[in-house]
Amino acid sequence: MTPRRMTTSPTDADLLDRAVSALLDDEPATVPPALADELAVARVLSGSLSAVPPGAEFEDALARRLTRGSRGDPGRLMGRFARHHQRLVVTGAVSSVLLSTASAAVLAWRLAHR
Amino acid sequence: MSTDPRPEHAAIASDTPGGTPGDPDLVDVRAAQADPAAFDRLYRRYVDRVYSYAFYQLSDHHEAEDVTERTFLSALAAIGRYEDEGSTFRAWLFRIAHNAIANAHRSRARRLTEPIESIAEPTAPGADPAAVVARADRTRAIRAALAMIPAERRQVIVLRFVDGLSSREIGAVLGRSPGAARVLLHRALADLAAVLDRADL
Repeated sequence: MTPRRMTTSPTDADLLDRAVSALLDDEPATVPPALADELAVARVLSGSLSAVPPGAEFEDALARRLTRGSRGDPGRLMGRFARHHQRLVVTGAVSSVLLSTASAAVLAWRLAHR
Repeated sequence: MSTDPRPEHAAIASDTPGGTPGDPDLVDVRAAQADPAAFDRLYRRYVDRVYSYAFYQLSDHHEAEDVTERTFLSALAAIGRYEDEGSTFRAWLFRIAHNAIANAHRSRARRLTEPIESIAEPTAPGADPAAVVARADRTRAIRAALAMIPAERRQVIVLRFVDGLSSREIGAVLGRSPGAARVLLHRALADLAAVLDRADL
């Protein structure tokens, strides 16, 4: 979607922000008629959008990692995490090069023996 | 796992332009700085919301888990250096998540992701099936509409309505002024009004 081009006066934005805060606090929210559509959408969002929780297994596993990290040097934990991902990237790159080389060799062999 | 996505919402989001909100997490932050084992309280409080923020931006559970993991490991590593500089701990935490999401966007390979509107909505046991279906339809339509607005505006909507951050905190997360965050919120709601109007919702 192309972003809608519109001018927004700070006053309108402030009024709407206050109304949204009131809405989220379950208090009466009112705005001038010009902002009624935006407030109506905010009402729909406040009743419909919710958190998407992670899986319990992931949450508990990360909690255990954080607990281990909090007992040692948390910076080292992050370093290990980064190194693990770096290894995955390097392994993937090397595998990709090996596969490409092997494919090229097979292709060359087949062409040479036609 | 917490079930209420906005447990401290009332304490924070009522800030007015120019006001300085308090930080309800400061006691737990100080405790975590003194003893990193206390970081678990902050983790349990925010894991759902950080994960949701990542998921709404990336539409991929695995990438959202990766961002959540990076965010909390980075936060734990840096909690000793955290200082209250006019914003809140959760704005600082979501700023870390925001950067991790930006990195994920930069490094992600082109691959299929689950459309955000297809994710099942958790339902309460014993709920009226007709109401559950109607709510699920509406939620799907809203998520589809969210996917159609510019990324920064979508971030503002998620941070405000899912994660419960105030405009001041959203500004801190996005590196914008509180006024700019309020303008982004206005524009995001106007965009969604137009999209949902076209969808006749």
